[in-house]
Amino acid sequence: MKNKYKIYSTLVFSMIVGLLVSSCETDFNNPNAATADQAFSSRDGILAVTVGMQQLYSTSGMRWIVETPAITTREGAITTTFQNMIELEEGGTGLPNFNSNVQGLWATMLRVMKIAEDVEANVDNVTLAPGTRSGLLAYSKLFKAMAIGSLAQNYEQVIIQTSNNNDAVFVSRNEGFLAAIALLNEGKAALAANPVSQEFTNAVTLGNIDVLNSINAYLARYNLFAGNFDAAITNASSVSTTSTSVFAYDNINLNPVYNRMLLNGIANFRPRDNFGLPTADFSFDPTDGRIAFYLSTSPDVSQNGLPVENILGFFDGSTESIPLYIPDEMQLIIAEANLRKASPDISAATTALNNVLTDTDDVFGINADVPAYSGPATAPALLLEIYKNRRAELFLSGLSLEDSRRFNRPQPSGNGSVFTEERNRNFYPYPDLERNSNPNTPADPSL
Amino acid sequence: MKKMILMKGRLHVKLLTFALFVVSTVAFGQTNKYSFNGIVTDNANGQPIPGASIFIENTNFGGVSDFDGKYDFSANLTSGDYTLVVSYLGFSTKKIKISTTSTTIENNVSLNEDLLSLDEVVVTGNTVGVNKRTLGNAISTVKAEDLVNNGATAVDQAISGKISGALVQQNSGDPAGGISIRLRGPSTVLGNSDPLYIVDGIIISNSSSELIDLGGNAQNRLADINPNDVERIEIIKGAAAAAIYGSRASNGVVQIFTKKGKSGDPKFSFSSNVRVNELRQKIAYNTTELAWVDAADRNNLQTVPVQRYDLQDSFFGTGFGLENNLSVSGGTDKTSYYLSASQLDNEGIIVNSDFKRVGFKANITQKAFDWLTINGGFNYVRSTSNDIPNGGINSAYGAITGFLFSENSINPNPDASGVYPITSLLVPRTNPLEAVNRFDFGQKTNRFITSIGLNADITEKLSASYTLGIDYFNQSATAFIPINNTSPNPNGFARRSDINNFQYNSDLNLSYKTPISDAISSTTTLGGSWQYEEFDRIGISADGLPPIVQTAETGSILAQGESRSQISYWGGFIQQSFSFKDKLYINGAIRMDGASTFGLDERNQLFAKASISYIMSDEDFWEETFGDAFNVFKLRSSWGQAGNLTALSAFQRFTVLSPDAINGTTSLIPSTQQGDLNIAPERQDEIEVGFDAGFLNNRLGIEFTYYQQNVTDLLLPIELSPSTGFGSRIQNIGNLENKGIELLLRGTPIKTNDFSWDVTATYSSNDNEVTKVAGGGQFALGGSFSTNFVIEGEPLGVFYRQYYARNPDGSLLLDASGYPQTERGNTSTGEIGRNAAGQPTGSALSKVIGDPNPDWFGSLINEFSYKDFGFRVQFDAVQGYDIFNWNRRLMDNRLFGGGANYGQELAGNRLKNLGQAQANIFEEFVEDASFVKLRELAITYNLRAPFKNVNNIQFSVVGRNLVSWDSYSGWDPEINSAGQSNGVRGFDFAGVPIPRTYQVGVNVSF
Repeated sequence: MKNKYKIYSTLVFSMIVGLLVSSCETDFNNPNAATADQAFSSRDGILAVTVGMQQLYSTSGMRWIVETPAITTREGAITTTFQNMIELEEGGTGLPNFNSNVQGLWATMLRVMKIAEDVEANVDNVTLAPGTRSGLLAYSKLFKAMAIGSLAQNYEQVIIQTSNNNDAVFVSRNEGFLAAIALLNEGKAALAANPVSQEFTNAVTLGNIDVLNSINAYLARYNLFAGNFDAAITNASSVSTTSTSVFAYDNINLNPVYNRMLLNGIANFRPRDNFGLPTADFSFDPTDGRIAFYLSTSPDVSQNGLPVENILGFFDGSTESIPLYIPDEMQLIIAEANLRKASPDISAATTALNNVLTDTDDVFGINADVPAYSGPATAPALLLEIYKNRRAELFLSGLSLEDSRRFNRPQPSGNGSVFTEERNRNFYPYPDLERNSNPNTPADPSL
Repeated sequence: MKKMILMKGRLHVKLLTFALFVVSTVAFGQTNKYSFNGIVTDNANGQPIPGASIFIENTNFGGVSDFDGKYDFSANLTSGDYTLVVSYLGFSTKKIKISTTSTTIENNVSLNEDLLSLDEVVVTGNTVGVNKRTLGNAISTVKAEDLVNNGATAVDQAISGKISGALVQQNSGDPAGGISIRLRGPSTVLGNSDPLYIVDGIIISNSSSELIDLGGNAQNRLADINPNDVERIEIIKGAAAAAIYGSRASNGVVQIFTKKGKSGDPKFSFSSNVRVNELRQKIAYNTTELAWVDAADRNNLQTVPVQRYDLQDSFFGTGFGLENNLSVSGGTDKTSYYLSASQLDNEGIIVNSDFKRVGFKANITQKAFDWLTINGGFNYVRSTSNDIPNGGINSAYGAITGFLFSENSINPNPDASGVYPITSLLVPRTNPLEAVNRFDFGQKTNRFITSIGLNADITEKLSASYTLGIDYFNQSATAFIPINNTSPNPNGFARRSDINNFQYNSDLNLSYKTPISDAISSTTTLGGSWQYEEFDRIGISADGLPPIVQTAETGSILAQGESRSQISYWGGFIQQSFSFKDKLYINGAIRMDGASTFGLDERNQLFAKASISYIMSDEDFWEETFGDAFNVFKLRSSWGQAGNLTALSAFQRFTVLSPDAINGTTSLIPSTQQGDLNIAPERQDEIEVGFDAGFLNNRLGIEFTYYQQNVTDLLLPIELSPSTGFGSRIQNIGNLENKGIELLLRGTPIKTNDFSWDVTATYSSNDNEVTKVAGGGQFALGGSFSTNFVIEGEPLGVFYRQYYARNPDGSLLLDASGYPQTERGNTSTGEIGRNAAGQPTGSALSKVIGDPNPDWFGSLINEFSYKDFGFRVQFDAVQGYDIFNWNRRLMDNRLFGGGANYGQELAGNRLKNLGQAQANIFEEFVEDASFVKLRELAITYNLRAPFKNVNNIQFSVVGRNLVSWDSYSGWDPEINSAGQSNGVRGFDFAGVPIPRTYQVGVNVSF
């Protein structure tokens, strides 16, 4: 009897000790996410990171890019009590450095830049077909350029290279545009050597984005902003008018502007009447097709009593695509560059402007379809008309603050809550988040 | 490490085989049968003490006194001198020398009450039971009778106010609303400060998984433990005592012991109670039956009549509850058992919310040999709840959130076709009546807690114990909002989310106890532990549901998620104790700990502890001088270290790219948080000193403790500039400090045969400070709308927000129209700005405007008994803390307009739109939440032996949370909408107030 117990209890103890020993695992793999080393050392990994870069830019990135200057430059008016939106619409010197739009735009663009830099740095660590390699290079440079450009449109000084040591260097916004142009030219060169492979298209763009045309379009845009007018005209002319490049969305990754303007019937902001331009200075032909394209009329007023419309355009469906650029922007770039270049070409500018005004066959259906320009054939008058057309044609595309400054629209007073001002800031202040850790952060712009 | 455990494993096998061999060859001498009997009484009043334990020291013979205090047992002993040990919980143990002079040995014993419980045997902090007098640290115990008959449904709820140093905060008044326990303050920022919970040696999960969004409120899984099964709870409060629990015990340890059987005939106990839960008080509300013609225009004071509805009536109701417990225990010399079945069904004060718990519990003890005892514990629990979402921290749907945003001139009742009107006009929230009637949210948890324990007395001096404990649960939650509703999800919403949680611990301890000389004895303990926990979590949410169908699968998917986690912990320790003449005790221990979450170079950590206890009153000089009046005085002090792991999740040290997908293509997106491969656990050093003193024959007892804790290597997110491409990195960069005192007073002012009066008072104060925060020096805690902050030099979670502009004399600086305004100035220097007109200029300034950590808390418990009647009353006080009343901020704003102050604006008694002007002056909404509550009131009557075979019937009438004395304008100052959040405390936003409960119960033992 005692023996039996002995055997039994020995057995039990052995089992327990066995359990104690056999389960001594002390290292577990993370099944939830990939580490950076893992991701950048495989072809599938680097392709997926590239898709992630595009996803980040096209979702939260596009939200900040569109929404932030839209409120500052009055394309939209707020219909929400969220503090960030209130601060943004009040603007002036009181706009805090910690405003979440000011921070979000800054931080998201820098995140995109960091991913783009990592893709570029690791592209040779993985064996890739030449067209896939060039695709990744060109694409990462395009996104880094777009991120730098989006910063330079809104901040006085920008960062063109991330640094892990909290010491990234600031350069002037013009140098930012030049850096973006350089990146785009490098991308263009890579594509000239090896056009993108089908593998790259299938894995990354899904045919939604024409990489070369997008590079040319952004070269045109940033050369204009940087004052390289001839290069702007050349690049704008090389952009196909029939090709489209769009960010596509799905049920999980909703159109970010729809998300802010319409999701669940909640509008954080709504488009202003007359595209937010002062009716005294700018009046649109009521038949201008761009009104019907972007807006449907509403008698409503916003929280601060500004008249607002309902949004249409690229933003009235949860999975609607948003273009990277609108083909008619190229005509407006040609028109503007011809007026601003050292020896203005009024006729070329007028022709390009009329291409926009009389457009009836835009690939996205943005057709003004109004009579050709009939105002004075002077540069100032034409520039004013171009500004008005840029606002209507490129509504809610993130360019409005840059445009308002470039076209010398009235300076803001700096007092908050003057809702009649065309813009309430010139540039955004630098986020506290940057200043707290990066000693290179410059002083905030006065306004 | 693996090797070491292996080696240890082999050693164990050898040792135990050896032990088996030794024991089986022990020979026994000639024995005679002796019978022992007598009566055990209370020295104070001569009343018999039933249930006292009488045993013969160093043997296995003994018995228990019966209802009349009589004991009678027999023992086979070799003739000689023995010591009879008589003990009973709450009384000083008495030892009586006896000799086997006759076969019947009669001894009547009278015991003295032990208010300080110095003779209580505790095991927490030591692997083998030790007398409390030997400990250098404070240890608190709560007995079974204090856990029931108080209207509480969970163990943590029941211990509120019963021990010093433990701040028990119920965060929500939902029927299984989450509860936080803080022992000596918060000890981490990112992790949680809840203590480690151990049930019969099993480390159990007390996680609070927020599987569906109820507004921050989540059940903590201690809700699964039935208080009726608990025999005793021991609580140690800090690192000084916790070194044997190592890296998981820096927040203290709560060890729960469940009931075990005793040898004897089966004893049945049946208890049943019914209860009513109701809202203690409504808040003042807008009852002015007027509305503005133009609400936005401050100067237009024209009004039109409207009808006002009290929307509080639409979602608050009376909840009923029923609880039944049946247990049977008994056993033989070799086997004893405790079995119980319990059922709880408790409705909340939010209409259609409830919590149900069905549980079965078995504890079996088998004496396999004289030297080996095997314990088995088995507990199955099924907890289910119907929940109503209330909060709006993340999601915007819910009953109370809807209430806060509602314009109360709208009749909330559905129209003839059953469609509920939208009551929140500005932003879609929810018609609260619709929320309680149509939303269907619920959770169910199936849980098994099992253990096997072995206790071996290998030799007289060497003993071993082994515990294998397993805790497994599946928690499954569903949410359903039908289509065509007033919430922000008009197309319906469905969510299903599950978590499978499994953890086990395997602990082996060896203890060697030996006298070194007559005066000195030594106990050496060697132990090792292996612990493992894993969880798998999955969730899916959808909107755009088809009619009727409730599953998320049928809608368009909004979010889907899955995550998995595995963590292992290992550790070994050696502890050495010496005792000198049973007066002076010295104890030291060293522990090595590891966990899979740390960086590879930080895997193994060393912790140490030391303590001393000196019973000065046992010295002759003491006894001879003032020993009569001042009869017990014990000095104690201890120092110890512990680690804290809770701030680290399983894979936090890596920089990861999160998988995602867009347009059917998978993607990887780098996390905004950069990893740190050198991450290490937070470390805590604690020192405590204190004394226990007994006066007037132990009629008055005092326990006093002062402690100071320093947490170093505190894990904090160090803010990175966005130009790094990341947002933050978690690093061991902070420091935190807690210091405070704990005071416990126990007294028995009156004790006669028929009447007794016992008083217990506790007082605890804690001073918390985050002493170092790297980077920006401060950051906002998530989930508080950037209201609760971590700021260097301030307590954890202070409110940091905009405040009133004031004149030099402190009065409000009003604008030209007479409205208060936010202080403005230079945000980087904090300098206040004034323009030429003397008005604030610059950016809105923020400062610390409140602190959710109480200055002190305490309780006063009075217990009276007269013959068979008992009366018990407990007051709890928490003083000197603030609550941020987010509710009022919304309701007073004309944009929503349900608040009483807005009603005053309409009535012309307050400046029009003052509430809106205040909305961004957050200082306005910080309120003093100090309260004193009549926590428990219980009247009991015992009907002794009314029938044959029935020992006792106890009737009880109980009230809980009957009255609160406070100045808080919300429903209840005991609230935290952020649930069991560690840093976000004192945040009232759409939280459910704690109900007032009345309960009538009967308890039959037979």
